[in-house]
Amino acid sequence: MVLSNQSQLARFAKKFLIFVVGIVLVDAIVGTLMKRYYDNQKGGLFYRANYVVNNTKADLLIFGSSRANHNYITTTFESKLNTTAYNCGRDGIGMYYCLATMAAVLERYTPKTIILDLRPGEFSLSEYGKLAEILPYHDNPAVYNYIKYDGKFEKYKLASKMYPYNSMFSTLFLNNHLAANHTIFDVEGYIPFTDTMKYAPRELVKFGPVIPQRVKVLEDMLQTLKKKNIKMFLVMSPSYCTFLHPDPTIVTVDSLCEKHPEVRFLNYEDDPAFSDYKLFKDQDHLNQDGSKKLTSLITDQLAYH
Amino acid sequence: MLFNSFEFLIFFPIVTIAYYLSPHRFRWILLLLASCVFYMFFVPIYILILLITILIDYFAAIYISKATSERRRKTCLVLSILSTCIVLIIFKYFNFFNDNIRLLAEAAHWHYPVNPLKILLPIGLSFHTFQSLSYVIEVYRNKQKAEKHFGIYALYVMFYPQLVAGPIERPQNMLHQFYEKHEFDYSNVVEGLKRMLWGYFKKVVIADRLSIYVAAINSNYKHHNGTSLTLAAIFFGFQIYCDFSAYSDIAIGSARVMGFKLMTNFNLPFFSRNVTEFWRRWHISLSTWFNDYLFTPLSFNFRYWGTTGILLAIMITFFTSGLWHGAGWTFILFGVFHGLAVCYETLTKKFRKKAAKAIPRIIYTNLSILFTFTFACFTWIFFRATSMEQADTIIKRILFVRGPLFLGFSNRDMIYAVVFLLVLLVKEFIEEHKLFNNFSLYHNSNAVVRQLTYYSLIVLIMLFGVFDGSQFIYFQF
Repeated sequence: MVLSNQSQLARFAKKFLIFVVGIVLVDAIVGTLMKRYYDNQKGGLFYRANYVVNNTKADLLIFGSSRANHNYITTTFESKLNTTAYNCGRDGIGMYYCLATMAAVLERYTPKTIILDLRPGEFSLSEYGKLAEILPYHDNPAVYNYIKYDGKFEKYKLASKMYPYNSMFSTLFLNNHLAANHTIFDVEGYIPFTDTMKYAPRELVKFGPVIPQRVKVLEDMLQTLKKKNIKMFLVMSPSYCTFLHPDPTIVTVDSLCEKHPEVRFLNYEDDPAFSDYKLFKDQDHLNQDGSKKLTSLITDQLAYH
Repeated sequence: MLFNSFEFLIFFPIVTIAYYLSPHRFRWILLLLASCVFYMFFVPIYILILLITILIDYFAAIYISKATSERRRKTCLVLSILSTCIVLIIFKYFNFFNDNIRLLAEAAHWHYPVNPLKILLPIGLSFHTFQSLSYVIEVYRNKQKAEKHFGIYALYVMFYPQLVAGPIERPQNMLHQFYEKHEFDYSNVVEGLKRMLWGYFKKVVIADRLSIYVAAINSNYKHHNGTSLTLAAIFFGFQIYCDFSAYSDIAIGSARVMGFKLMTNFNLPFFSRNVTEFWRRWHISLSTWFNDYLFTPLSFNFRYWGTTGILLAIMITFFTSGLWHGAGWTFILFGVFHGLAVCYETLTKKFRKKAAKAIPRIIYTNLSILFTFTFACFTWIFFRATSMEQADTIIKRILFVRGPLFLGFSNRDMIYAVVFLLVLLVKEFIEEHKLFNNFSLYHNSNAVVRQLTYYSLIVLIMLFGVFDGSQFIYFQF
């Protein structure tokens, strides 16, 4: 060893070791406190995510992003189909998040029907960094399987107890201490949009190539659902846009359904029934009138199948 | 390899430990190999471009030092500069010039058959090209002996901490350090690690958080009002500072851990009272490069033209500086605006001194700081814009479209951005004004306070950092 100053090295090694031990302790303490903080929420989006993973018992579950959350009226499903329903949709998340929470729910119980709302270009979208909010459930093996899709080093980062709660502090603070002012009004998970968009011409939208891994992950879930005898409906909600045909997402879902005849695909992407802009809150989301119309159409399909 | 990547967290300790374990005579090999690995994480084949630059300047410098006549020395210098710059021109500027010539040809209804090149810009090309050029020029000026050891010279250009985004070093500061035997030095290692930690805090907690708002506004600039666009412009000023100074801190810190001392690159630039001072505090290694190798020779050559010569030298220097940043009119305009501001300051120096005496100092100083910051943010609109049309629209909307402030997709991003920005500003304000007896948590004489500060920074990074693996802004140059 070519170290002329052994004593300095020894001093550094000793202090560094103590520092590392300190960091591990601080990480464990802060991580534990954050977990407690997370588990004790009284309202807000994380609270609802917690409810989906740990408490839902409904026979019909709706998964998806904001389009699922604001487009599907749970009470309509309940009254027309004489069932229990919960809307697990959540703003700003992608397919992997939905499938991870779905897997966590399936560990707990077996719902009868699941609707998964797909976003336009679902199989072309990158979801890098979008799984951060599922990290608090990384202890659940069903969820852990999906965390790898958020980057190859994600599982190593989870050695830290604090990391799963990254960027959550202010939200958890609100949900714990100011929940009364911060509670989001929802009806069995459904959050209505009351605004209507201003008239604008439809924009032309096109997407990149399909990412095979995303199709494979969805297909794996379809097989799991088949084994559990759960009815699966893949739905493409309407958008106030014009899509370049053939849309690779639609083509891919069609071929998936050919391979899995038990899965139904309900495609409203370009449906003329939703040509009126007054049914939309913005180009991606329906307002309350639009949701009523969509929910009614889907309910008929569910009743038929 | 990115400093804020998981790979670097593995790479850095391995290289550092191997460095101290290796016999001194083999350390340059280790550092050179490590630097190659670091660079090849981007586009491996591009290491050949770096090799070409290194070979050209290595042999050019030896030839210059051996040449007997001044004419030969000068010819060799010019050839070396031209051939090094050709690499830069091909990869960075060819498409820009080609597009502009095509536009001119189309306007004149001429057929212009040259197609754009479909190539990626090698990471940090402008940085290592300038570092290499500074060596040849210093050898020509007889201020630096030509380096005979090819490996050491290659390491001077490729030394991984400053390879892709500086600081752009000078041979007099770096080359001798590769020959010196760096013993394990406790204070160097601790100081280096502390600097790196602060760099990471600035990058992932402040810069990357601010970038969420800035990106949200700029990606949809046509639909945002002037209030939101103004805030985005201010945030971008802080973002680019935190991003770039963070890179410099991590570079300087990681080199310091191994006993190397790199030059300072930032000195609290937001407390500058004028644009001239701003460039003495911002990206110091680049502004001194331009001062040493472009502005000083130009102003010497233009000396017979008096003030006009100085102004011309300033404008050429800043025009080139703008072009150095990027091949686009937005970058050129960024440089030109700064050049005009420095020219204005040169011309009004006496008047401003008188004005400073007439106005209470505290008011004059703070207004000057505010004005300089506003000017810098205004020019960064061009720097950030992807086209002149975008910059033009943003400025028009800032001036004429009023409306409520868009707070971002998530309130938490705004809260974190503002809170940690305030932390940074308070720290820098104390440093700038040497308040409370130069109080510093980070360098506090009380060991407990120091330790608590380190732990707090790590907790803040883990809880509030943005871990999306985003690149450093200056990598594109």
